[in-house]
Amino acid sequence: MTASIKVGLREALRHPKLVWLLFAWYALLALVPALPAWSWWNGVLGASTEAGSVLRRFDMGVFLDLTSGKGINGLRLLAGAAAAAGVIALLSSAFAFGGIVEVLAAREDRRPFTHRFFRGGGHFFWRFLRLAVIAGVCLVLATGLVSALQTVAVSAASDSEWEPAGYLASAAGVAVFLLVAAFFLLALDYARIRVSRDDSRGMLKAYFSGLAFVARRLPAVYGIAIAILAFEVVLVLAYVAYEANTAAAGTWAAIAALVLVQQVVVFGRVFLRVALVGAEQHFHVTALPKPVQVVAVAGDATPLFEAPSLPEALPSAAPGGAGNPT
Amino acid sequence: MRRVFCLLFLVLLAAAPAVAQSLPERSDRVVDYRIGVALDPVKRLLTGRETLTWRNPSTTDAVQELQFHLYLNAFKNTKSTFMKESGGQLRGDQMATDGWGWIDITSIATASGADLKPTLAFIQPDDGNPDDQTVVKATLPDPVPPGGSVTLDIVFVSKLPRVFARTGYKDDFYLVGQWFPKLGVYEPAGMRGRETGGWNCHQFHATSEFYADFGTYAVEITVPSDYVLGATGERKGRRVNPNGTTTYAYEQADIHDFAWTADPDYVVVQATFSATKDVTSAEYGQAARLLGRTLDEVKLSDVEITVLLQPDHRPQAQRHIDAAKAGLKWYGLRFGRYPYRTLTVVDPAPGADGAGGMEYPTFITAGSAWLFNSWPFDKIRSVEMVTVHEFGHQFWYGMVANNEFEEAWLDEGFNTWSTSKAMVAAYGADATMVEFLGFRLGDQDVGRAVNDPAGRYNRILARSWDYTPSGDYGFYSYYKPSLVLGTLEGYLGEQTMARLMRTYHERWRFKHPRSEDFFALVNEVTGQDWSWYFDQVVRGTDIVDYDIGSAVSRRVRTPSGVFGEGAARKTVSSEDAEQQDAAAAKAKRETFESIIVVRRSGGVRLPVDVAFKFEGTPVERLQWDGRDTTKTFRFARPEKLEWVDVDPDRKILLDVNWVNNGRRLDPDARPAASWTARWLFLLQNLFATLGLL
Repeated sequence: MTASIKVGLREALRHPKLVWLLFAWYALLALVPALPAWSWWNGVLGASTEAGSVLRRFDMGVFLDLTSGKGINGLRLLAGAAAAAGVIALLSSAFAFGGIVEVLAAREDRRPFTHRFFRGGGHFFWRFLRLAVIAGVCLVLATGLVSALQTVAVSAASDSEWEPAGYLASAAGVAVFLLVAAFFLLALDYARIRVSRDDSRGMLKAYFSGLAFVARRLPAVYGIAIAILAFEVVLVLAYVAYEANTAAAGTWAAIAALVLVQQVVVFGRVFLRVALVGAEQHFHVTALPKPVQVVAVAGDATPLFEAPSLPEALPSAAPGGAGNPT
Repeated sequence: MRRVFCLLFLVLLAAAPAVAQSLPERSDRVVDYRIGVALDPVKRLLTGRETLTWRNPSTTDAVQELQFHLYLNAFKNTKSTFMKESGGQLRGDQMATDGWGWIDITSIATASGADLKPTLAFIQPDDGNPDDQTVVKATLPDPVPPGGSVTLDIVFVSKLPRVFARTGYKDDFYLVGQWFPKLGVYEPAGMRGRETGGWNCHQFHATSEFYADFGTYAVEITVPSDYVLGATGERKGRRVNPNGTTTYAYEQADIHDFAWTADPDYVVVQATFSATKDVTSAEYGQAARLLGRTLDEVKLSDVEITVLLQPDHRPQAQRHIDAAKAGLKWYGLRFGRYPYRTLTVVDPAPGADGAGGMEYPTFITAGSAWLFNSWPFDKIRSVEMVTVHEFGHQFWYGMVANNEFEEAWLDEGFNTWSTSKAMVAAYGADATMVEFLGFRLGDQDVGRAVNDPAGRYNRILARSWDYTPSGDYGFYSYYKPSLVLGTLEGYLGEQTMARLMRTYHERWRFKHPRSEDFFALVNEVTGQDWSWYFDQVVRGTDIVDYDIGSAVSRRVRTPSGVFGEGAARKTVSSEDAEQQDAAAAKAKRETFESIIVVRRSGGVRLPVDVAFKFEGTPVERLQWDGRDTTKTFRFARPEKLEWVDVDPDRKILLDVNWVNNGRRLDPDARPAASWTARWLFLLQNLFATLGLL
């Protein structure tokens, strides 16, 4: 597990272009709803004398004055734009994951980085999207069930004479919900890694094999994810500490510093996500039994079946990595 | 000697208004209740005996009919007016299935032995709902003459509901309010504007609170000996009975209601509010100066504070005590000392939320939860705010006892305004609700936030059950009145407002004022007629919104073209004009024409200040009476206009939108940049998460 985490972090370090590309993609997506927000706020706040308070602190009164104002309902516009961009982000995940696994798997590949990324993204897009849909259905069903059970448990605990019981039941419910959701999302990751390795086309089978893979190796799979998540938590806490302990962003220099810190945090989160995929890929390879050696039948030159293309991390892997470049 | 006389004269002069406005020491004491009650925790029953003496306050009317509140009958069945209006839900709390409550008068007779039971009849003065049994009348054999009195002996049984709407039980926790037959208020002609004398005794409504007469209470409460008891007033005695119960005796004068609580799990925390230690001489001096009173007049007195805490809430004990002390200090210094010796703060049991956040004389219920024990939730000041607010009701409701059914704004609104100021004094501006990791939220923000432009369909001055929808009761009784008073303070200034409110409290302490009395007092103290204000914002429904329609500031160009006639005709070319403009600019002799259109977008017409800032000059102010829908200001001066702002001091808290109050001619992009940066960050994180699922 530790080895996989180290490999994952090293892989992310080895591929800064990949991290930058993903960072840029999500920044671009975020700009879609951020630009109308800028336009709206700049139009309203820029000319308003009341906006000075915004520079000192978040002013709920100003915020609600804006949202309850006459004319265009800016909040609805922003929510709509954000939702649209969110859908694109969700759809693009299938593409991005394909790109990541292709880039990470191709150590000796001489093709340009962008070629590998977009080739991997395009090659696996529809399969990974189908996997995501299957995972989404399973996720919704499972978390729905968990939520129903959680509601019953919290309701029972809330009636307890011991007051903390209700809160602890709620916290436990959230934790269980997250663990169950993580189970299905990690299974999605491993299913995608397997598909990229085998170039297989049966997505339902692949997802269930991903579920089986995670179920059989729960401590290690969760351990890897939690370790990477811990780094993310540190990043977020550092940001919160920065926000809490620095003067409000009232000057251009302060605003610039804030943006810089924010982008470092986002970049860090993207880096860690790449590291997680790298770690999962490594773990997937090392956790599975060694592939069967193909032995030719004496006197017959035709192999019984084609050998799968193996990940390059194995000593016996063929150059070119996953996905059989075309 | 002459100097001494002069000095003495000045001192007397300064003290003169103070003597005239000293605090009333006691109420009229119209009623006297002597009640013995026992709790049966198995059947959730109270059995009680009440000796009630009522003095007819009228100087002209003989009264033969008495009217009583029997408010526990609001929870008797689904046909009561309360249940019909509330649908079994109130303040976010749901009435428990079959958790009914009721009250029966078993017997009622005069001291001379006349049985009144056959005369009892339920009446429904508000809505005529024949199934509502929250008001009952009894007919006396002989009328009570003006100034005369009658004593009744009443035996009653009360079944407590499962905690809901301020009263009831939850497991072993009891909050016992509105539990005994309580007289309504006989209002003689002239009282609160009445033309003829009569009873004011409303049914219990979903959104209404209470109204009763001042008097004295002596109550003996018997509960199982393992229960911890708290009640209105001072504990005068305790008697352990042989049957495993204990009887506690409480007394209090000059109050108009009595509530009590019992729970074997209570942790009792006691503290003393010391008038000498908890208030500095500087604070006394500051209050005396602000109010124009002597130090003696603003002097407070010691109060014993008892906090009855749930065991799991022990870490919050000091927060309640600090909040209670903050209330005792601020309200006492501003309005007049808290006259009672005790204050009991009750922390309801978990799951008994319906009993929280309620006020009774000298007895308040807080709002808390285990979650608020520790970081980060201890930074949410709801614990303090509820305690300060409910304590504040000792002044607005407790002592200045308006009719909460008919004019709820006089207690809830006045107290919301007061709570906000007391919280700011104790915890700092902008942080009265939350102060956590740099995020601060003040209740004024919330007040402004709920002051929505759509809020123009009800008026403040309405009976509490007449707001439509009924949920509007909260805005029109709490927040909007608070904004009305805040805006009034903006016009009058802090000192005049403080003196006004002090005078109002003094004059109506231990009495029952109505809105007209407050309006008249405002006129009296300020020496001006403020009916134009109250007519619009208290009686009216419209909103306040001022904004800037347009603002331009242009350099005045030298005219070009052909001017004059005949021989005097002269042509100024564009080039010449430009050269003259350039020369004027170089010599700093330019003129800017600034035209600003200020608009009144709301229906309420209030006078406003308009501030203008020209380059390199101090801010200038002009007044606009706000009567027309627009006002155009024109300036021709050497400086360019930088910004214009309507109501620059933000005195008009009622304005539904402050963002449109001002206009910068050179926009400042920093606020938008600051918010956009945070929005972008939020989105990037969201998409980075979604995008890699």
